[in-house]
Formats: sequence, C-alpha cells, structure tokens
Amino acid sequence: MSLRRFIAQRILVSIPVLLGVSIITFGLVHLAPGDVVDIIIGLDPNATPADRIRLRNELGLDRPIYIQYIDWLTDALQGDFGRVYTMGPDAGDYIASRWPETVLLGLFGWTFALLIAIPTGIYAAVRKGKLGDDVSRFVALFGISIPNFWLGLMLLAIFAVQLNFWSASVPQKPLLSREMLWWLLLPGITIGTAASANLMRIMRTSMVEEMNKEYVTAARAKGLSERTVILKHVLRNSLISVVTVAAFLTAGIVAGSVVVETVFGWPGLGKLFIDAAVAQEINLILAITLFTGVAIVLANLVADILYALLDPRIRDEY
Amino acid sequence: MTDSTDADSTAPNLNRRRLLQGLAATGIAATAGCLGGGSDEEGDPDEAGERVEVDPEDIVEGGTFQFAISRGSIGNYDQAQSTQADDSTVFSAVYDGLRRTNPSGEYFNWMAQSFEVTDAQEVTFPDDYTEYMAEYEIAGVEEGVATFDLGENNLVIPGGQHPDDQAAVENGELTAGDMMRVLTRNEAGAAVDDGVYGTQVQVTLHEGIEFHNGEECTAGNVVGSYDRLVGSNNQGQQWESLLHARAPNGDDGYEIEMYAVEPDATADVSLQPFWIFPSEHLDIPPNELDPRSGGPVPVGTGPYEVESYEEGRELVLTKTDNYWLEEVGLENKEWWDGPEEFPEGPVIDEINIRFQPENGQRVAALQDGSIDAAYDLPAGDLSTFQQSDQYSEYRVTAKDSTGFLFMQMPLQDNGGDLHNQEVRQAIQQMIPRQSIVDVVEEGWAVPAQTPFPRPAAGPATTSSFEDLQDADWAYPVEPQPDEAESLINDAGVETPVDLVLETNADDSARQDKIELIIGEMDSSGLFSAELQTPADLNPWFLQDLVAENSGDTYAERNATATLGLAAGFDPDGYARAVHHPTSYKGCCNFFHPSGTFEFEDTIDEARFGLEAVQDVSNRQETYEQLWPQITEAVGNTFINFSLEAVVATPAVQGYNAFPDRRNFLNYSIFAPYDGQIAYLDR
Repeated sequence: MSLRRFIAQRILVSIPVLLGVSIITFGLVHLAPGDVVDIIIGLDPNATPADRIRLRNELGLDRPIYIQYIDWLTDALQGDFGRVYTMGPDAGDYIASRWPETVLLGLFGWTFALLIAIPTGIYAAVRKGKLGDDVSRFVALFGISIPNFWLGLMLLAIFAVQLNFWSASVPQKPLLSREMLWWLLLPGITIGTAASANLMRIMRTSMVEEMNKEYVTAARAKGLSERTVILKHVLRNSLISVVTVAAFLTAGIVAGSVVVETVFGWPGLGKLFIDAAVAQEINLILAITLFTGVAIVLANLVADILYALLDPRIRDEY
Repeated sequence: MTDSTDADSTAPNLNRRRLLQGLAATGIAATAGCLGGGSDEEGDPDEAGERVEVDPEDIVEGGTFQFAISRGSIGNYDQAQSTQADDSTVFSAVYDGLRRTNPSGEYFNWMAQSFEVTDAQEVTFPDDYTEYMAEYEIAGVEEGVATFDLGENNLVIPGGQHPDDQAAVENGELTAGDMMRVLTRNEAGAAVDDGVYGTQVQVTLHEGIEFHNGEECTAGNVVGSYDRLVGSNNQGQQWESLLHARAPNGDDGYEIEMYAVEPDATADVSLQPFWIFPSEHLDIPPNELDPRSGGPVPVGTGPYEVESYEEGRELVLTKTDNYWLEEVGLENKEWWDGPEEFPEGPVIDEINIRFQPENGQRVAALQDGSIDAAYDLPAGDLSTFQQSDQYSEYRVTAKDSTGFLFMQMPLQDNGGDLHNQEVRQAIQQMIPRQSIVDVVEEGWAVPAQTPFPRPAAGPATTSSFEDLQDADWAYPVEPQPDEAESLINDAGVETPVDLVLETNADDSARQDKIELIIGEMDSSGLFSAELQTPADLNPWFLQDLVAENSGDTYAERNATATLGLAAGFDPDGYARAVHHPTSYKGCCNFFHPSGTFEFEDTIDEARFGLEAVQDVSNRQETYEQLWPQITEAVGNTFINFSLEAVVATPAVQGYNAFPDRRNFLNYSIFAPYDGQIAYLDR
C-alpha cells in the first residue's frame, strides 16, 4: 500500500471518531442540570422567571436536543461554531485566537519530554539493574506521581519568587519572541514532566527487550561496537513502542494544558475550557473538544506514519 | 443527593469538625499562607480597613499600573451584555456614570451637574396603567409567563401585564397566538405624558463632556443607551423599576427625565443607565461591541480608553487626553471642598490588565513584583501579606462588602419542627458567627449582627450601624445555648431536634462554616444536626431549591439551605432578595410564598411607599420597624458578611479598597469626592 493511500485511509477512519466525540460531548453537557441561562441570571436577585424564559427561548435552548445538535453540526461544518452566550466573541473566534498558545505549549512539553526520556531511557536500559537504572526509575516514578498543578506552583515559587529567574506573570511580548520562549520553559517543564517519565519507562523497557533479542547477540558477535549496536540497531526498533505511547500521551498533554495554563495564566485553550465548562457554554466546550480531538487524531496519524517509516512492514498490514 | 449517615461517611466530617472546633476554641484566627514566609503574629484585618490618605504634594504622576483580575479573559467587552463583575471592574475605568458612590453608599453627582428626584406620586402598578396598555400577540407561554416578539428596542415593562389577561394566561385561557394587553416601552411615554408615573427624576448633564472619540455626550446618548440594554442579559436589572426616559430639550440638549413605574425611594440611583454609549455604538447589535468579534473597542467618557488588547493576554488602558472633569473643573462640582492642588483626573498614565485566574499565580506575581495589585485572594494569603515581615511594605486594604452568607429555613407546616418559630429562633441563637469569621475566614469577614451589611446602612436606620449591632434584636455573635434551650422548651418539641443543614458541594469554606454551626448545636444537646451537600451550586439551586414544593420537602426533612449572595448599597436589596415573595422561586427566596410573613408590605413600603420617597427619615423609620420583625421571624438568618480586599505592592500609594470590586479601578484610582487618589512610586 502506498504511503499516500495509507494516510487517506487513516483520515477517513478519524471522521466517525470525531463525530462520536461531538455527540458524546453534546449529550454529556446537556445531561448536566441547568444551562447557560442559569449561569447568566441564575443568582441575580433582580431576574424574574420571565427573564429566564425569554433568554432560554432567544438562545434556542427550548428546542429538542437532537435539533440543537443537528443545527450545531450543520453550522460547524460551515465553520460556524456558534455563539458564546456569556462572552462576546463566537466560539470559532476564541479557537482561532487561542490555539497557537496551546500548540506552542504542547510542543514545549513534547520537546522537554523527548529530550529527557530518550537519553535517560537508553541510559537506564544499558545500566539495567545498576544504581543509575534505579535512580532513573525512581525519578520517573516521582515524575508520574507529582500533580502538575503542584509542580507548577512550586516552580513558580522557587524560580520566580525566590530566585527571580522568571516572571510569575506572562511577558507581554509576541508569542514567538525570545522572552516568551524563555518564559515558556517553566510551563513546558510542568506539562512535559509526566509524559517524560512515562516515555522514559517505555523507552527503557523496550530497549531492554530489544537488547535480549538474537539479532543483537548476532551484531555483538560480528564485533560491532556496543555504541553501534545500541544506537543503530536497538534504538530504531525500540522507538516503535515509544512512538505508540507518545501518541497516546498527546491526550495527556492536552488534558494537562487545562491545569498548567490555569496555573501559569497562559491564555490557551486549556484555560478557556475551564471558563467554558464553568459557564456551561456548550458551543465553546464543543469547539474546544473538537479541536483537541482533531489534534489527538493528528498525533495518532503522525504516529502511524512514523511506524510506517520505521518499519515498512506495518504499511502492508493495512 | 447525599443523605448517608453511615459511619464511613460521617467520620471525616467529625474529624474536620473537631479540628475546626479546636481551632475556634484556641482562638486561632490566622495561619500562615502557602507561599510566603508567614510569622507567628496574628493578622489584623481591622488594620486593613484603615484608610490611607494622600497628600497631594506627594503625588507622583505617570507610570503603568499592573492590575490582575481573577479571570482568564474579559468575558464580554460589550458591557450591555456582560454579567461578570470582573468585566465591570475593568470597564468602570472606561465608562463614567451620571453619579458615583463612596464606600459608605453616599452618592455624588458625577457627569450629572444636577440629579434630583423632582416628583413622586401615589400610583398603583400595573392597575393604573391599564388604559395605556396595547394588545400584542403572544409568541409563547411557559410557566404562566407570556412572551412576545416586540421588535427592536421594545420590551414589556416588567410586571406590566394587564391583570385580567395575566390571570387568563395563568389559567390557560390565553395561549400562543392570542392577543394580550401589556405595557411596553412604546406605550410608556404616553402614560408619562398624561402624568401617570410613580417617580420623576430630572438630570442635567455637564456641558462639554466628550467621549474618547471626541463626540460630545448629550441627553441623546443617555436616553439612547437604554436601547442597548433591551434584550440583553441585564434587561431585568435595568428595568426593575424604570418606566421611561426622555430628553425634554432634544437629543442635543443636556436635560434628561427618568420615570419609575411606582414611587421608588431608590430612583435616584436605580433609574440611571448602567452604561452610557457614544452615538456610533448605540445601534451595534448585542455582543458585537467586542474587538474579538471584529467590532470596535468600548468607548466611554471615563478617564481611561482602550489602547490595545490581546485575547486572554493583555488589555491596556491609557489615560485619555480629553477627560471631561479636567474641562469642567473640580471647583464646579458642588461637593468639592478639597485642596486646589488635587488632580482633576487620575495620575496613573496606563493600566495594564493582567489575566490571572489562579490564586497561586496572583500571589507569586505580587511577590515577584510583576503585578502591582490583585484581589480575590484566599484568606491565608491575605494574612500572609498582612503579617509577614517579608512583605511588610505591601499593603492589604479591605472594606466591608455587599456580599453575605445566609441560612434559609422553610416555614411550611409539613410535619417538621422548623415551622415552629421558637425552634428557628433557637437555631439562630446557636450560630457561632464570630468563630466562623475567625477560623474559616481568618478574620477576613464580618460576623452578621444585622440582616444587611454596613455599606447599606445609610437609608436603613436613623441611628448608626453600631447602634443596630447592639440592639436587643441583633443576631448574637457567640452561641447562646441557654437562650436556645429556653426557646426549645417554649416550643415544646422533643430534643435533640434533628436538623439537616444543606449547602452547595463546591464550596469547602461554606461547608467548614456549617461544620462549626453543627459542632455548637450538637454540643448543646438541643439539636442533632447533619451537613448535606447535595450538589454544586447551580444544580443544587435548580434541582432542589427552586423546585416545585421545595418548601414542603425541606420542611418535612427539617432541612435548611445556606448560600451566599451579594446585593448593593441599598437595604432593599437585602430585604427583598431573600424575604420577599417577588423573589420566590427565583433568586433567592426558595421557601416563602406570598403571605408567609406579615412584614412583606413593610418591605414594599420602605422602598415604594410615597412617604419613603418624600423623606429618607420616613424610610429609615420603616426599616427600623422591619429589622426586628425579620430577625424575630427567622425565615432567614444571616451568618457573615464578606470583605473585599486588595493586596498592593510597595509601588502603589494611596490605594484603598471599595465594598464592591467593580469599583476597584474607578473609585480606588480617582474619586475626588472622597479625597481618593492612587499613584505609583517605584
């Protein structure tokens, strides 16, 4: 199968996935008691029952849920993600203005995770059963266990408040400026720590497995240096399982952005999602969910492509 | 719903309660905050309430004020639509109003050169307006309320349904497609022409007031600004009492007349438009006055204009170069008697709004100096900034606010004990208001001794707020078990009385307060009380509190509801919201339908009585009759009032908090009627 056809097939498979995500999200938000009208005027002492009814009718919330969903889907397919009732702009405007921040933060998290996980995983595998391996596994366990909101606050307390290396507030500079990229190190570390620890463990396990295989013994018997065996033969094969897990961890990074963006005041989609959920802004919740759904599907697609590149036999299995 | 009483579920509550009681018993009023160093000294929130004065000769002009708000972004730049207090905090620096207030609730003419209640007359609403009502086709009926498609800028004046037609709607005789007689904005002017109105207010604007775009603000802007509130989320609030507004000398004139449907003692405040827009913004559809949607930025007559914005990242306000007060001059304000050198506008050049919803980040940003001031901080952090030597140069400024926590009790006779007035009074006697403030709020709140807070005291009494706190009907700050026992004995009910104290699941501080109440109740042997948290605030509100027959079900279970609310500078807000049947099944009277209390008419009389409008002392005397009746009936009992607190870094001088956070930028930075001005000295 050609790579192009392989990619097209994967994209087609993702369409029902995204549709399912939107239906489930739409249904879950509607299952929650109350709606955005209650948020708008719920605890306003001056609001009358007539105000409540008028607003609900105006916002179309009196229609059957399936009609509301079909209307939303029809508009969404045309790029209109609907109004955000308690805020000014439409949901699409919010997504357009906030996605670069979240993607940049995610890339920082990823970069940090890979930079830490791959060398540490290799080192731990090579030093299996020795002190270095034990220490790296302990650190990994610590990294997985530590809540990211706490880690973020601690980093702020140490590096911003005590050491004054960073500012606790987001610099008011362009997104891709040097100051901003420097500032993103702390939130990037916070969001990437758990992923880094997970990936390191997978990397180590995968390397250890590969190192026990016969082709490695054969390579060593041929007199290849240990460095060549590890980096040229074992690493490439070990990366397949790392890529698999890495794609799954994209969802973790997206989920982590909700907390990390809030702790650091980073104006991305994660922080926006909190506001949307609190205000029961269904259009905004759906738009963000759909966007992150697409991001996760894309990450898995990239993973699939990497499989195919790392091991061409995988392409033929589809 | 959480109704479990098994050992597993109660054990953590008991431990938590014991811990809280232990703290209360040892008098621990403050603990160190999480990020600061803290110290062993107790904090002193009273000190934070002390006002700092500025010597005009010390004022330093210029600078950028980095001000953090506790949200991730501006909710809505369109202030006609926004319902978020933090949005108002920001845009109150951009829009000026006709009048402004000081922290004591006194009003001062601002853009208004004069603002007078010129007429009030006895009129019954809606009965006396029936001949002005027009027939409109009903678009739909829901829960006995008819809705209409009235077209642009029109609405039914709230309560303006013809009584006969309203009855027909409620019993199903009139439905969608039928015609119904209602009083709308379109007909209100005719009623006023014939002299049918309750209150008339006449306003004269200062001449020469300019919007940031250079347009002169005239009567047309004021009257036209009401249009933008029609159909908005704030419509109900704006038209709570408003009947009609007009510009008698034309849109280009400076005179405005406002009318209320009834005699209204709050007309001098409640009738003015919430926001005054320039002409080019009057016709902008709802939500499109927002730069994020491609619309314009807000333009007002306030001291600051919007310079730049980036969604969720920054919003920069710069001092306008055509501020009207500098043209009019302080000497032309009737209230001005300050020094000549006092500035006629704010002296800070720029306000940079920082969006920091997370408490920890705001605290860290204050500590590293990347912001100058922040509010909405937890009590522990306020104590840290107040106590710690490390932050001795920082200033915590706090004011009694208009927020309160109250407990509502059902009076329905449905097999429970709460319909018995003595039982309710006994509960009221057992609330440890001072411990609640000391332990849970670490002193950053005020125990409620009256059913309204200090900022609303002006029209609420002929004497002082302190005198009311000492009155024999005032809520006790410490539990009174002997008094409670006597009341329970008089009631003749079996002890211990089983009680369920409910609150929302998403507020742990509120739950801690109830645990303290339960601790006192249980230890008295008079009650056996249990905390239940059925759901988060909104689901609880919808599923349980405003549900049909909620009063009956709560009464049957001996259950009360405790939640928080905020009103304004007028005592009517406190009496009406939680006691009056007009708030029944809305917000926030859940259990008391019409006829529950004998004092319902007194609440109305204190605001809508002609005598109350004509002379404030009549109003004060009416309220003085009301407060003892409210505390004696105990349909609700108030627990504590909140404080609004701001932490400012050493760079900020002269900053004083305000009872309502919406005024943290307009009052605290520049309010010459109160000698208030803040500046930066870095």
